[in-house]
Amino acid sequence: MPPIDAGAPSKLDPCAVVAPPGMGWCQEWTDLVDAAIRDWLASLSGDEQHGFVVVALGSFARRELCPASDIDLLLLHDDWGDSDLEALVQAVCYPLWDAGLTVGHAVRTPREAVRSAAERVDTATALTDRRLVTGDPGLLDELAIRVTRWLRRNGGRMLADLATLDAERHARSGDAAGMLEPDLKDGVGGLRDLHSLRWAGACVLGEVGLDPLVGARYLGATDRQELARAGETLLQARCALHLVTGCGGVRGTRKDWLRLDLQDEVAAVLEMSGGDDLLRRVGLAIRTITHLHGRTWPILLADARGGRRRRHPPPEVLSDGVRLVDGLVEVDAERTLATDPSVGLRAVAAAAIRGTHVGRTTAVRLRREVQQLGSIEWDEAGREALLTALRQGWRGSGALVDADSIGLQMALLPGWERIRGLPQRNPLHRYDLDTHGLRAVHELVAIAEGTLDPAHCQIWAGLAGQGTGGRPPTSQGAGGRPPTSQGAGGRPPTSQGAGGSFPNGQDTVLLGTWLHDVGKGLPGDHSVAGEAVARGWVAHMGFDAGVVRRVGQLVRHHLLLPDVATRRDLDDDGEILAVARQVGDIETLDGLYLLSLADSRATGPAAWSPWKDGLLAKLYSRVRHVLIDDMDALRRERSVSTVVVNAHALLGADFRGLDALLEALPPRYLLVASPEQVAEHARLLLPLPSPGALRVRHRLGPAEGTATVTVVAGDRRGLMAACAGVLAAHGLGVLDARLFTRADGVALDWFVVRASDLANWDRVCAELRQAAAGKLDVAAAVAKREQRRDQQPPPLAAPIPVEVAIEPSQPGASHPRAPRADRTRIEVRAPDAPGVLYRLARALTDAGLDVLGARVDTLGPQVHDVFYVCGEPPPDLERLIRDACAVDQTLSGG
Amino acid sequence: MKLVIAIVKPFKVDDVKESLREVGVAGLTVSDSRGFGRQRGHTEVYRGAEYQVDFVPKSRIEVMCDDEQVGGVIDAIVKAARTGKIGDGKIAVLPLEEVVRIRTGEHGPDAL
Repeated sequence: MPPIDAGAPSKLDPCAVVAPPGMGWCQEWTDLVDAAIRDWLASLSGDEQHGFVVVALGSFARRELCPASDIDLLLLHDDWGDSDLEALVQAVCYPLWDAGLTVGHAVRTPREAVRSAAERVDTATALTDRRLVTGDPGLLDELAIRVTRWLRRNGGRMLADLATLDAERHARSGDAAGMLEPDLKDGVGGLRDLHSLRWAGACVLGEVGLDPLVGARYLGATDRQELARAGETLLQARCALHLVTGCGGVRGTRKDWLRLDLQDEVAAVLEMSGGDDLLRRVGLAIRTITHLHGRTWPILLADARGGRRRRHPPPEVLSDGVRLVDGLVEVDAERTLATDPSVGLRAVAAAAIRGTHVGRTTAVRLRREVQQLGSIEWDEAGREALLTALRQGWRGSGALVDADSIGLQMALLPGWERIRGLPQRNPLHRYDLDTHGLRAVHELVAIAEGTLDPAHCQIWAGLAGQGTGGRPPTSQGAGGRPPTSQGAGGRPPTSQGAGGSFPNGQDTVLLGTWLHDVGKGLPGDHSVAGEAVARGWVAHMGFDAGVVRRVGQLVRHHLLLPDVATRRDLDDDGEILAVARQVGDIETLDGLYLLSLADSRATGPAAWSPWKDGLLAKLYSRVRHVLIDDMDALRRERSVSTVVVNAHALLGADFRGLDALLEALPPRYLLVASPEQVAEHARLLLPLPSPGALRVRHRLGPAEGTATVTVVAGDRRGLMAACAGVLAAHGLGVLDARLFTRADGVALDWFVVRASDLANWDRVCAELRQAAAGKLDVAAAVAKREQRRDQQPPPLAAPIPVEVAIEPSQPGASHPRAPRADRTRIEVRAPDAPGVLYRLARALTDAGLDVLGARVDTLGPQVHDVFYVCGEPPPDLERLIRDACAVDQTLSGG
Repeated sequence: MKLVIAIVKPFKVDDVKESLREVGVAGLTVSDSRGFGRQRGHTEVYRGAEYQVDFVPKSRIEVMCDDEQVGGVIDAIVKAARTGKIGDGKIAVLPLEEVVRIRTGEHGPDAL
C-alpha cells in the first residue's frame, strides 16, 4: 500500500457545529467526522481503497454522536500486513486523538470481527449498528453476510446476554423513571434501553431497528412514534448537557447524568422555560421508554427461547372480558371503555396481581379510546380494581406504569395532568410527584408485610377492621374470580374475603398514601391544598363521605408526625396532647404512622434513618396512649417515682447518694432520663468533678448507627458549644442534645450522635476534656474539618436560604408536665456544614441564653435545628443566628 | 528545586538516561509501572474489544533538579523518549520543598 499522505490533518472541533442540540446537531457532527476521515484517507485512489473499509459502529453508525460521545471505529481489512495497518490507523485515529476525542478502535478481518462479537455482547451489539465511512463496500457486505449468519445461529444466546447486561446496567445506574437526576443514557428508560430494543430486534428478526419490531407486531405503529419522540427528547437533553459541561469536559460514566445544578442551564440551551420544564419532558420520555421496554422484552425473550411460531399457552379467562394471553393481560375486542368504563382498571389490576403487563393490543386500543372519550366514569368495579392494583405493592408497579401510558389516570381524575411527571427539584426527593406517590404506596405495602418491624403487620391488620361502609365487596380482586394472590405480599386478603368490608381502613390509607402530595405545585401549604384536591378526587371516584373525609385527613396531616417527631420535645406531654388533639382517633393515627414511614422511604435516602424511625415510633406510642385514654399507661411509663425506683434497683443496694444527686438536678431531668440513663449518670457523677475537669463516656446509641456521648463537667458558659464543636471536628454529627445543670454548677449533658466507624474515641474524649479546660481551639478544629474535601457540599441548583423562627416561652401554662412554660423554642433551617450546630450554640450562649436542649435533623444539604433555651432573648437574636449560619455555599458549576 | 517525573516506554530508558547525562543530570531513579492513556492501552493494530481498557508496562523516571535545569531536563527526556507513536508517555513537574543527602546531611540545592 502506498504511504498515506494526510498532509496536515484538518482539526475536528464539536464546538464548530451550528445546528441546535438534538438529532440535527448529532448528524451534523457525524458528517464532520465522516468528512474528516475521508479527507485524511483521500490520498488513496480508488483501487487502493480496495481491501479495507472504515466502519462506523454504535452511535457513530446511527449518526447520533453527541459532543462527548466516543467515536467507535472498526478498521476492516482483508489480511493486510501490520505495517500497512499501522499506517492506516495513524492516518485515521491519530488526528481523532489529537483533537481530544475518545476513540474506540479495533482492526480486524471480517472473520475476526464476528469471532470478537461471539466473545462479548457489547462488541456484538456495536456490530449490528454499522455504517460505511469510506473504503471497499464489498468488504462491508462480506461482514454483513457473516453477521447475519452468526445472528441466525446465536440470536437467542445474544438476547439472553443482552437481558443480563440490561439488568446489570439498571442496577448500576438506578431507576431513571421519575428520577430527578436521571442518567440519560444508562438509567432505566434511558437511551440505552431504546438501543437494546433495536438490538433485540436484530437477535430475534435478524434486522436491527424499531421498524422490524413493528412489522413483526412486537410494537404498534403509535408505539414506534412515541419511542421516536422520546428518543429525540433524550438525545436533545444529552446533547445540551454535553455542551453545557464543555463539549465533553465531563468524562467517564457520569457524563450523561442530568444533575440538579445543571438543569436550568441545559434548559436554557434548549430554549425551554426552565429546569422544571426540561425535567418534566425528560421524565415523561423516560417513562415511555420504560413502559415499552418493559412490555416488549418478555415477549422477545419468550420467542427467542421457543421460536416465534412456538405454541402459546391457551388464553385464560380472568374475569368478564379480561383474559391472560401468553403471559400478558388483554381485554376482549368487544369490550370498550364507553360501554364498560372499569374494564381498563380491571385489566390493570389483573396485570398487577400477576406482576405482568397489559398487552400491546389492549394498550394501544385503550389509549385510542381514552383519547376519544376524554374522561371515564367510575363504578364499583373500577374502585375495587384501583385498590386491588395499589394493594399489590412493587409487584404491580409495571401494570400501574401501563395505566399511566394508556392515560387512564388522566381520564379518570380531572386535573391529574397537573401532577403527572411534576418534578420536585430539591436534593431531598428522588422522584417526580406521581412516581413518588406510587412508590410510597409500594413502600406502604412492604411495611404492612412487616419488612421493617413485625408490629406494623398488626397495625395494618387492625385497620382492616375499621370501615366506613361495612358492605361486602361486589367482587374479589379484579373482576370476579379469586386472584392467585391478593393483599399485602400475597397473604390472604385482609380487606376482602371472609367478613371484610369495602372500603375499609386499609383502603383509605392506600388512597391517602397515593394522594398525599397532590397539593404540591399549588399555592400555599401543600398539605392544605392537597386535602381539597384529594377529597375532590376521592369523591369523584364515588367513594362515600366517610372515605372522602378520612383520606382528606390523611393528606392534610401527613407531615404532622414526622415534623413533631424530629423537631419537638417528645418528653413534653403538652406536645403529645397537641398531636393527639389534631389526629383525633386511633385509626387516623395508625394510618398517619404507616403513611409517614412509607413517605420517608419513598422520598429518598436523605429523608429517613433508624434514628428518625425511632423518634416516630416513640411519638406514635405516646400519642396512642393518649388516644386510647390510657393516660395511666403513659403516666406509668413516664412516672418519676418509677424511674427513681428502677434506677435504684439497677445501681444496687450498695450505691449511696442517688437521691442527693437527683435533688440537685432540675426537675425536668427525671421527665427525660430513663432508669438506665439515671444509673449511668449517677456512676459518672460521683465523685463530683472539680472545676475545669470533664468526664466522658460513650456507648451505643438508641438507634442503629448512633452513639450516645455523656459528659459531666463543671459548668461554664459555652460548654455545650465546645462539646458540639469537638464532636463536629471528628465527623460525629449531633442528632439530639440534652443539657442539665445541677444547683452546684455541675453540668450533665448527653449527645446522641451519628456514629462513625472511623471515630477515634480516645482522641474525641481527650479533646472534650481539653475543650472543657479551655485548652483547645475548638473553632480552628471545626474550621479544619469544614475545609476537608470530603466535607464540601455538592453543587446546588440554588442557594439554601436561612430561616429562623423564635417561639417565645408560654408563661402560665397549666400543664404541670409542660416545661415549655419556662423556655423559648428556636427553629433554624440553614445550609448544612459540619460546624453549624457549634456556631449556633455559641451564638446563643454569647447572646446570654442557656441552651437546655437541641434536636438536629439533616435533610440533604439542609439542616433543621431546634433549640430550647432559657433566658431573655436579645432583640437582635435573629440577626445573630443568621450570622452564625452564614457559610460559603457552592453554586452550580457543572 | 523541582521533581521531574517522566512515564516512558521501557525500551527508551537507556536513551533517556544518556540524554539526561548530556545535560548534566547526575542522578535519577527508575521504577517499573504500568498505565494507560486515552488510547485505553491499545496498540495501533488492536484486535481486541473496543471498550476494553488495558494496562501497558511503563517505566517511571524521577529526577530532582534546580529550577534553572527544568527546561533542559524536559527537552532531554522528550528528545530521547519520543517515538511519535501512541504510548510515548507524559512528564510532570512538581515543586520540591526539601532534599537531604542522607550520607552527609547536606540539604537543599547542595544535596542535588
